[in-house]
Amino acid sequence: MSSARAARLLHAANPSGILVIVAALALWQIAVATRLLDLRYLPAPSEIAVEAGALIASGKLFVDLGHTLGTTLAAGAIGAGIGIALGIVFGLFQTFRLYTASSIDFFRTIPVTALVPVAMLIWGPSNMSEIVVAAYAATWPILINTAGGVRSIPTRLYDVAAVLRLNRPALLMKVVVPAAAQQILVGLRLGIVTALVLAIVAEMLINPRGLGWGVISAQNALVPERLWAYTLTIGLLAYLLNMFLVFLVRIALPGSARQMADAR
Amino acid sequence: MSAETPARPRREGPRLAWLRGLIPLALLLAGWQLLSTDPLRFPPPSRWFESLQLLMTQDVLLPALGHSLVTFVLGLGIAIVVGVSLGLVIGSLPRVDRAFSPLFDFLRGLPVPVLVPVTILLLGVGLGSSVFIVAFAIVWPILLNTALARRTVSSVRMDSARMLKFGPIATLTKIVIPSVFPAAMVGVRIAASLGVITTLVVEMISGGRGAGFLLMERQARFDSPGMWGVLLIIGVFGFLLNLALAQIERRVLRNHPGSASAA
Repeated sequence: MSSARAARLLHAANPSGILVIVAALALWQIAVATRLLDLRYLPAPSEIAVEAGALIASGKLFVDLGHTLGTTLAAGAIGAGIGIALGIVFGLFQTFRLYTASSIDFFRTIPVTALVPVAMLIWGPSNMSEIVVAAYAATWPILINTAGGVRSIPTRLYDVAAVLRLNRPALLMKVVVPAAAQQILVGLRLGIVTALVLAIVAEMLINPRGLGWGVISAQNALVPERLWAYTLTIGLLAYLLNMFLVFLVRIALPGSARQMADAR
Repeated sequence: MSAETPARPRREGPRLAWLRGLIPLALLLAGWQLLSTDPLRFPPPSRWFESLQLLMTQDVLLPALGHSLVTFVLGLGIAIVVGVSLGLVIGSLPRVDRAFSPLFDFLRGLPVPVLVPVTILLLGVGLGSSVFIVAFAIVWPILLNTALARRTVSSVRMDSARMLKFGPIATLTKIVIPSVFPAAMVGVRIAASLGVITTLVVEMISGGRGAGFLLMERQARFDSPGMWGVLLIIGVFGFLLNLALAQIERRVLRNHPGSASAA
C-alpha cells in the first residue's frame, strides 16, 4: 500500500474525531465512578453497556429495533410514493402550482408533532397511527425537493426531448426523473430521517411498541441504565441510517456525493 | 430532521395571486363543515371555535399558548447565542472542527424526543429543562452553518484586515461577523422551524403545561373539537412563522450578494 493511500485512509478514518468521542466517554465514566458527578439518574457508560448487553442477549432490543426501523422504512416508502408523484406534478405544471402552493405550504408547515394526538383520535393506539404520522412527515421534504429538482431542469433538455419526439411517458422516465434524481434523493434521505423521528415520537406517546416505547417504559420503571441504553441505541440508529443513506446516494449517483453530504 | 432544502417557489403572477393557492384548503374545510358525519372524530370546523371559546373563558388557552411561546423564544435565543459564538470559535480552528465533527454529527442526528426523558430524569420538569432541550435540539444548524461560513471566509478579506491593522475585535465585528451573517441566518431559519416542533414534543412528552400538553389533554378527554381547534392555531402559527422567516432570509440574502448561503 502506498503511503499516499495510507494517508488518505487515515484521513478518512478521522482519528482525532474518534479520540474526542472516546475521551468524552472516558470523562463520563471517570466523573461518575469517582462521584465527581453524582446525579441519582446518571449511570456510568460501563453500566449502560452492561444493560445494553442484557437487552441484546434477551433479543428484546432487536425486536424493538425491527419495529421502529420497519415502520420508518414503510413510512418512507409511502412518503416517497406520494411525495415524488405530487412533486413532479407540482414541478411540471404551473397552473397546478398556482392553485395549490399556499395550501401545500400550510400542510407542510404544520408542526408535524402536533398531528400525533390527531392520529391517536382517528386510529387509536395502533401501528396505523404511527405509520400515518411518520409517512405524513416524510412526504413534505420529498415533495419539496422533487418539485425543486423538476423546476430546475434546463429548458434545453425539453428541447432535446421534443427533437427526439419523445412521448409523455418517455419524457417523464428518460428526461424528467433522471434530471431531478439528485434532488429527489436529497429529499428521500431527509424524508426517511424525519420518518424515524416521528415514528419514535408516536411510539413514545401513542403506540406502545418499538424503541420509543422502550425509552418511556424504562423511564416509568425508573431504570436509568435501560433508559440510557435505549436513548443511545436510537442515537446510533439515526446516525447509521443517515450515513447509510448518504452512502447509497453515493453509489447511485457517483460524483454528486459531496453536494449531497452538504445539503442538509 | 435537519433541514429541508428551501425551495419556496418564487412569486408568480400578480400580488395576492398566492391566495388562489389557498383554494384547496378552503374547499376542504367547507366540505368538512357541510358533509361531516362523524362528530366524534371529525367534528365540523364551526364546532372547533365553540370549543376554543370555551377554553378561552376557562382561561386555559392563552396561558398554554403563552407558555409554549416563552419556551420557544428562550430556546431559540439561547441557541442563537451559543450556536453563533461556538460556531465562530470552531470554524476558525480547523483541527478542532475536524476532531469534533463526528461527535457533533452524532448529537445533531439524535432524534429530539429521546432527549426529553433523559433530561427530565436529570433536571426535573420545568421551564428550565424545556428550554434546555429546545436549545440543545436546534443549536446545530446555527452552529454548523456559522462554522462552515467562518471556515470559508475568503483569505483576501482576512488579509485586508491584517493590512488595515485591525485588532481582534475590529476583525470580528467588521470582517468575520458580516461574512458569516447570511449563513448564520439560514441556520436560524432552520432552527426556528425545528424549534416549534421541538417545543411541542417536549410539552407532549413531559406533560404539565403548554400548547403541546393541551393538545394531548384535549384528545385524552375526548374533546375532539377542542383538539382540532388547538391544532388549527398551531398550524396557522407554523405557517405564518415560516412565511416571516422566508421573507427575512430573502431580504438578508439580497443585501449580502456574493456571500452565498452555506446551507
